[in-house]
Amino acid sequence: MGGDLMASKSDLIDAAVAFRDALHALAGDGRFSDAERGAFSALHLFYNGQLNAFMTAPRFGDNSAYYDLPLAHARKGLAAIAQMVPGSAASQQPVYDHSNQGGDALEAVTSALRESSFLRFSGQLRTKSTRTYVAMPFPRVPPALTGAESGGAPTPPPPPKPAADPPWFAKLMTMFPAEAVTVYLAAVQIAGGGALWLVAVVLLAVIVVRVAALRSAQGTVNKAAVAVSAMSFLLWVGATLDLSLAENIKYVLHTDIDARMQQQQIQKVASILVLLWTWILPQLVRLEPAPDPAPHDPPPST
Amino acid sequence: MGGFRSWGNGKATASMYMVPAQGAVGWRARGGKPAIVCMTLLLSVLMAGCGMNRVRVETAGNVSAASSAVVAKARSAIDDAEARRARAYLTLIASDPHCSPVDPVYIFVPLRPPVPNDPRAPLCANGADAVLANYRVKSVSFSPASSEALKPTVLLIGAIGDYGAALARIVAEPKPDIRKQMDDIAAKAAEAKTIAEGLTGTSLPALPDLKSKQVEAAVALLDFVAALSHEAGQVRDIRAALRAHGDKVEQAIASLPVQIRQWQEVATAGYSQVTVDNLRTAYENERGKLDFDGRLALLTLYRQSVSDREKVKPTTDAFLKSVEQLDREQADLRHALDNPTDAQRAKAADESGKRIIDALGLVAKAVSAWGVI
Repeated sequence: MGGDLMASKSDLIDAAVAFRDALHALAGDGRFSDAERGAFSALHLFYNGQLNAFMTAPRFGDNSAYYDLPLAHARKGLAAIAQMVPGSAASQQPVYDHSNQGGDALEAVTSALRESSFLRFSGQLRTKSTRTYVAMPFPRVPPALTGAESGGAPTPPPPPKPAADPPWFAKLMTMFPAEAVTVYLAAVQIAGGGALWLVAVVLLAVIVVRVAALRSAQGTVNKAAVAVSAMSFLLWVGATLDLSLAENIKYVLHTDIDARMQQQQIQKVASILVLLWTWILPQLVRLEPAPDPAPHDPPPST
Repeated sequence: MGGFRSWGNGKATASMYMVPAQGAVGWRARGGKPAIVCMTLLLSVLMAGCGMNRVRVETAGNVSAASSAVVAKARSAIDDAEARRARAYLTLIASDPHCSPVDPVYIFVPLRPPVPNDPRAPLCANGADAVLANYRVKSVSFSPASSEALKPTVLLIGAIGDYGAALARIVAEPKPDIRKQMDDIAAKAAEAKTIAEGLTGTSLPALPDLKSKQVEAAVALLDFVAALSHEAGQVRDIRAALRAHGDKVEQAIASLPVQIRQWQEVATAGYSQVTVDNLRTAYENERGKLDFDGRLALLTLYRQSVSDREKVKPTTDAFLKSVEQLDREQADLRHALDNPTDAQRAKAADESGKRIIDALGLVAKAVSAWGVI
């Protein structure tokens, strides 16, 4: 893997499969002695075990500079096999080296998976996908990546833990758009009463302000939190509906209901919804987008 | 349209059509080809989309079948990998007397090529701290894949399975059977009449004859309309299923082949190779102690393991083909629902034509049976 590109999991697996298949072919190649074939068989058994473990639990996701080292061993090992001569220990030695070091390098980029955690409950409901909540345990790091055997490659850092979700009360305080309430109340006073256009303008402002405020460092916006803030504002408007706004709604909807009665009905329904909204929604929405499982890849090794 | 009345010579034919009678309340029949032309045009307009609905339901059925095939093959691939892992473990332990049935298994991994007069090293070590010159001890685990490792693949398989099952349910919904419903009602009415006559001792008027020509014609027409309506409902449900699952399934269709191919190439093929190596080692270790039959039996096992190893690639190819098939069917379904291809349009036009002819026949029968013409 030359240049600045990081190796992908698929590239590594393809190269490792090719190397492993070649080791297996050697183990059945009649040109080699029983002892030589037996040794290839042992190398194959070891390398295959490491490859299987990596396939089921790659430690650094789909792309990582840490995959460069095992990829290089797999490719060099395959090339060494092509140069090998039966009975020549010197020509065979590189195959032994790349099998051993390549297997260790695979082990270094493999996570130690926990058993199924279906019965474990983290205590919080999530609205995001489960991808970011699969905690990755601290991996095993064999001497291959820490010692001189692998050329002194750095030890991979432990993957970061998912960001902690703030407690319910903090989320409630953050998601309720207090700024919109003050602006709306001031606007109502100035305009001499509530009106739908006023609600629309303030709602738009809430969305704009919240999108800016809830943008993460990676530039992604927590849409669920923005939606909750916007809805909270609308419910608050409903729960404190004034007669002027009720008449405005009646006019827009062409309803036959008396404006005062309509005001009371909307207030009643909105108040119940506010109650439910206040208790439930902060529990369902994460405030901080969870970090990617492998955002801490080092610069590519050269 | 009560008060239909047939005027003319009493020899009405299907080529007649109805016109308002002058100065009378009712209609009269008048012969001529324009009637058929008008009716055909009307039915063509009414049933323009019906043929396409049939194509849509059929395509959804194809997607469902293709989904089932993919799910079955994917599950089988994972089961096969696990079975081969278990077989590799057993043959490994049996191949060398130094190996014990433990997991992980500690093996001696050579650090340099053997030289002449090197003693043959055992395959398995008696623990992590065993020592042998020019070898190191490493562990190899044969534990089944954990549910956490399988989760991404299982989720993809589940997404495709749910979608296929949802479409299968929609496609398999039984059509409404008007004739059966009428028969059920008639049977209940007849039963009630018998009871009422028994209780009152009187003879009630006879029930209408459901086998009459008129009723048969009306029921046939109703059945036809109900089937069309049922099909339109199925298409609505298919659209809903596509909205609910479509994107997720299409992502799964893109990702699953990569994952299953890796399972096959890494796990299935890898453990098959280990089994082959183990049986070869076993033969080499045991051949001196076995008679001809014993050696032949072991070699047969070895040959079988080689044959099993060779089957991995065709199985992978078959799986990938099944995913390609699903991908094609899914694209066809999207086209059929939103932007039909020329082939789909042609098929739909063909089906619509057949239906128009069927409808014309049913209408003619009904009109004739009720004596309108």
